[in-house]
Amino acid sequence: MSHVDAKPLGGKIFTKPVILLLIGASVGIYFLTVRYAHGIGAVSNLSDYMPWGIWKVLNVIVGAALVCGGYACAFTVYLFNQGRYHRYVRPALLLSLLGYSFAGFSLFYDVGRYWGLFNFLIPKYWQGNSVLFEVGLCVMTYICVLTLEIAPAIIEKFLKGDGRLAQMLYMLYRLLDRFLFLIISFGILLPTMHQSGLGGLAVVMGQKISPLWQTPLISLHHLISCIAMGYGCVIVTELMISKDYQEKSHMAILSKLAKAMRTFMFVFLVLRLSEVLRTGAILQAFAADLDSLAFWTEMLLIGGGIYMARNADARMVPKNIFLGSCLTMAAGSLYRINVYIIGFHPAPNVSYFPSVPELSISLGMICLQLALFITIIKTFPIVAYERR
Amino acid sequence: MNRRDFLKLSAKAAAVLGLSPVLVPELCRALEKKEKPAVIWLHFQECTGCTESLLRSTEPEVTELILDIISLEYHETLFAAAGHQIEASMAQALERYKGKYVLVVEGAIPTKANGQYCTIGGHSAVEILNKTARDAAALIALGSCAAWGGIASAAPNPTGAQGVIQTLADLSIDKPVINIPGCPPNPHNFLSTVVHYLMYGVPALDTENRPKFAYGTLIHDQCERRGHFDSGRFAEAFGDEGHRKGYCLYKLGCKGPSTYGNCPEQGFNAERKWPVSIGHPCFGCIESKVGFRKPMFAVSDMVTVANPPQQYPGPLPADDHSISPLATGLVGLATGAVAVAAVNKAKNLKRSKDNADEK
Amino acid sequence: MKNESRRQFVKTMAAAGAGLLAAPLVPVQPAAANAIRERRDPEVGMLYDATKCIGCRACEVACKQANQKPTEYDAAGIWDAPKDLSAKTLTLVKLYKDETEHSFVKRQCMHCVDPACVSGCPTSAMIKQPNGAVTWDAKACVGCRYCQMGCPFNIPKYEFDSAYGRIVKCDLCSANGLLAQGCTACSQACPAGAILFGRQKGLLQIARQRIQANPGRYQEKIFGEFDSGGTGVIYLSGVSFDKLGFPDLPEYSAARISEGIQHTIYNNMIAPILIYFGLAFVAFRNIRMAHKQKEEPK
Repeated sequence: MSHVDAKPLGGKIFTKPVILLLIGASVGIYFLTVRYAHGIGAVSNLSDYMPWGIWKVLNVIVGAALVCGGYACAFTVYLFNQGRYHRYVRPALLLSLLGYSFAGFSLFYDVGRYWGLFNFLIPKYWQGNSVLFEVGLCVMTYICVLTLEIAPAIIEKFLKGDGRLAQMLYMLYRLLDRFLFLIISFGILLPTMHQSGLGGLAVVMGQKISPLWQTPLISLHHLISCIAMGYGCVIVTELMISKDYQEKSHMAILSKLAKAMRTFMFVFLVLRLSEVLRTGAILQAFAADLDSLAFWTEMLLIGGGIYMARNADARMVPKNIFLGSCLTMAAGSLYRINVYIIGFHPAPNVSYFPSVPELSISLGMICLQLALFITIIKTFPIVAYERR
Repeated sequence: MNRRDFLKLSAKAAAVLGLSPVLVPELCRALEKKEKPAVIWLHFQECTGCTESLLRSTEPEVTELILDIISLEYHETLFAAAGHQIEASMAQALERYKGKYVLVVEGAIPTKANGQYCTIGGHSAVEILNKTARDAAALIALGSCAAWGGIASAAPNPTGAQGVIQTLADLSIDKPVINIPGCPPNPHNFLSTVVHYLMYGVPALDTENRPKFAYGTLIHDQCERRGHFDSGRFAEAFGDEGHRKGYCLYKLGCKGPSTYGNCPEQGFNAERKWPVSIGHPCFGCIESKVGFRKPMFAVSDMVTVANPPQQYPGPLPADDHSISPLATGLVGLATGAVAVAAVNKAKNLKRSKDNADEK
Repeated sequence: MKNESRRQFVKTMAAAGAGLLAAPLVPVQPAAANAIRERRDPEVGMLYDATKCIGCRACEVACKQANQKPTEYDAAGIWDAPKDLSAKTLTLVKLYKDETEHSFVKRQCMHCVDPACVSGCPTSAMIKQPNGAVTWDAKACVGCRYCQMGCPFNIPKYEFDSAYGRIVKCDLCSANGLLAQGCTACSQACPAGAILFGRQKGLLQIARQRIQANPGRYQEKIFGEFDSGGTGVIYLSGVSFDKLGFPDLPEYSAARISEGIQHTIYNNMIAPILIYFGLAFVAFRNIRMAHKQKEEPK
């Protein structure tokens, strides 16, 4: 693989967007302190019938799926030897690292007895039958793997100079480079396991999830959609952080990514619809209730994403693949929200809608992630550039 | 009074006070030892029903009360004397027992036209109360009229009738007053208050100066027909099937839910009956805001029990979630902002420089 | 030829991967469940006969006393009137009533034979005890509330109003010591004999006998005999169980499906390890090839 030439974007860090993001983050942090002082009930509308809300579903499950760019890139580049996509790996990996770290952190405020999370590391407490156990361990390991994968980018910044530190770092850099294939393989295996696992969580909930979404294949559905969302994430990130897409050659590469995204989304659509038709659940899609509305919105978003990337010509237009990626990511996000919140019916008459403090924490964490991402790509060599 | 009757009196008094039977011997000893307190009994704007009620007490009979337990110094109904003789008796008692007598007041005190609506021996009720209350040890306002004005104060209250406490306040006299409202009040409430006063002093009073042992619970909470109320069985009209079956009289205007008293527990007379037990709704004669104020057959307010909860929850969860409009707005705003930003960014994406095809 | 063999290898790996991921398409046999989780003889439970219940709620009172749970007040603050099971109320008598019929129903943890909560808990905080009770361990729990999501009867409750919340549910009087003495507070308190405590198999027999001996009185079905894989607390009723708020459940627990999929994919971690080595091999070769390509033009 050619080592990509990357350099920090530079520029002012505290721009207006970043300041706005930080304001959003501080509102979230304020309510977070209330949560820790007074308990989950003080800031959220979670209840015994609906104990999983936007923190679990949006910040953890959707959050982890949206940042699958690292995963998608890893196997595209290293497994299918498509070195052309190498330049997208670092930003995708950074986004993945941030996304997964925040997904992990979100667990620290979503779970009620967060001091017990260390039990995941104590063999006495391991419960191998639990999908959540597997997901938890997998995500923890993956965050370490992502750190190792992004380490070269961080180290590169400090390689200049002749000091002892620079020499040690250089040795570390070479070491990581040599065993990159081992690290990358984990970076492909682990997300396969836990992204499908995030879907597998739903199986034990049985009939509580509407048949429009519940199926034994739900792990596969989550995996396929997250790969598509990963490609979408890479496309959107690239179009936002760099202007290189204006070159036709680059656009062609992005177009290929969009094609992969479209293909995976199409497979996802077929798998979803075949299950819904097989079980006869399709009848509920015409029930004129919230479930059916959510279902058809999801279908529309999936269809929209596929349509935007429908053929080679359409895919050469930056606007199309940008919107297509946004629609795909929205479709995947809505799918997960549908599975765990909208389509989750534990008993008649129960409903859930997040409260304002709850939303503030959720959105605040997302703002913080974005602010960190922007700061890091400005200070570290993440974004590739073309030597002219 | 023979010993046996005395014991019966003590036991009855103890029961009304809610004292344990264990205390009866102590009660007896106290009653035996104590010097009989002097009682001056005033009648103002009243029907004498309270005295008549006392006369009908059977355990003990009123003779036992006035001959053996208290020293009745002045009573217009029961005294044989009249005119100047009885006035002299009053003056003597006021002198002899100055500061020690208990003043029992029966009937309301009219205040309009200088109190001329009730005069005894040329003096208005206000004047008499003024003179006698100043040196009393304590006052007992017997009956709703003395407690808060009673029927005499019903709208439009042409005589300006009011109760003892209010009149004392107008006269700036500060004395302990025990209200024993009712129309008529249960004589045993009065009797037990006297016994308690002898033994332990003034009993625990509520915010309207009524002894808690008698007026601490809602009539509704002790009513023998409560089960019918809770199960939704009501008499809808006098004489209908429900009425004949003894169902709850709430819909006929029973004021039990807004009246405090011990009528259901104690009952009146030897048969221990009370209005509801014979099929007539309570009209709240005890309560200052209910009796002679609220229409007899108007449905009562519920004082502490706004609506008794359904005794059992249903098998399915109840729907009590409301979505905060602010939260909905915030979600809408966030989603909208992201959508708008995405569309804007998409529009600003320039096409590839060397893409000649226009689409 | 190199390209051919590489393409072939990749294709094989992809096929193998897809095959493993498609394993769930193979229907998981519920029969397999019987070998793993079924009623065992010493396990105890309860039998609740709704036709005998008079709604006196002595069981609720005894439960609160035995477990030292606080009163749960209604909106006026006067009545002890919980509307549903909660972190303060471990058992509750509910009433189904319509024009023609009515029935009480006592709700509490069903102590399932194959509990979804036990299967889902990542840190073994929910445990199926050898005596049949399903109990919660405070030290192990992380408060993820997956047990609440998984329970088909929505039983576990969480103390949302506490900064250090616990999961609360009936534990068959395990913690308060009564189970060790061979009874539960509610079954002891019931004056009508509506709650029987004993060995699950014995209780099932009694239930079947009652249905046989009283043809018009009971529904033919014993709720919990097979529902969701069977429950430790079984129910007899005069009215149909859906009216009493019981969901219509299959005869196997969803835990079976979930564990079936998990075990098929991750059986002793064979598949993940194999896939890992395959990935490492391909990645290694691709990286080496890329290095060579980079050097060639030079």
